[in-house]
Amino acid sequence: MPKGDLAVATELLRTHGVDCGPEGLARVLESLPRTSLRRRELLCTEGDPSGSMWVLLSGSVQVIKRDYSGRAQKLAVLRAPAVVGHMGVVGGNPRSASCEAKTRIEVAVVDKERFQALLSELSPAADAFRRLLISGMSRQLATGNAALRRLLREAGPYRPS
Amino acid sequence: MSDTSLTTADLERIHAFRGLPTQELEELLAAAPLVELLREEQLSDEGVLTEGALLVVRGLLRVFVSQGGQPVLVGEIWPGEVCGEEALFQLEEDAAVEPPRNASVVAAVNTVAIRLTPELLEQARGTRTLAAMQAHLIHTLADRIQSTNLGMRKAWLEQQVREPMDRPMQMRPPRRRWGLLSLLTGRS
Repeated sequence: MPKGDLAVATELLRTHGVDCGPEGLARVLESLPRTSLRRRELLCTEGDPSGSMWVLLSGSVQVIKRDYSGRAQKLAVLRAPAVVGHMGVVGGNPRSASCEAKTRIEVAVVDKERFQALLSELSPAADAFRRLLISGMSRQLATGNAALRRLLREAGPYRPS
Repeated sequence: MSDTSLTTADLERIHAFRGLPTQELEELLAAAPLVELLREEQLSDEGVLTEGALLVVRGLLRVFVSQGGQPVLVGEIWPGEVCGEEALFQLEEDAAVEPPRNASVVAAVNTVAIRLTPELLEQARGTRTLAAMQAHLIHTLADRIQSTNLGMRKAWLEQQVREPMDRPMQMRPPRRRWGLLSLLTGRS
């Protein structure tokens, strides 16, 4: 098993608070095809069909979304190691944002078929992958809800017109 | 059968558990902490957020928020649906993320739910039941995140529409109560 995959798996599990050994997840990473992008290349484009998700192995990615007027708004920067593009694969929806390489990046590609297999397999590796996703998405939801609550509070109490 | 007991048949009515080995479901029922609420009983606020997600197996929960001192119904949680999933894997540093303070969960009828604690998930490791619960949670989370994203988009748009009107004319367009429903339940 490449040392790099083990290190990425260890860091991913640590930052997501998932308490299990990294070997299983490292084995998943090892089995995935890789691709590299240069700075400013697009990993995915808002509105496109979602055919895969990625594990960002090195570099960083800028998440960009068009606002109501069509202007590109920079939402977040994801730094390796991170999971990218999972929402579209889980929900089967088009990409909700674009991801642009902020530096040269390397990603491991999880296509839809592999993703579906990882959702149902009983191996420790698949279990680690699912726990990683649940953890990441729980935090994503908590952060989003907190932001939405702030927006609603700023809007003030409901007053019928 | 008492009103608050659960059987494997109850679990098998939930899509995520269909077709799973009966023995695994029996083991899940034996290990799972149950939350039993009588009609109109309120789930304690602390329990919702700190002890793990709730999977409603039988009954119906209603989520209310307080607006101007009045409870406003913002969503319902039906059998097979999950609430409180944000708390499952929260890290210590996530404590900075502000929890909802004014939501209350009340049983509309006698209700039984399973509390999905990290310990329960750990105990079920290597079973088809765990894989099914995890997949169910992943899809639930995706639905909720999508609802929250939609809510954010609407809130931003509303803010943009309102602000220019506020300044010159002190007028506000009518606003709808759309956000809290999807915020808490993913239902619209």
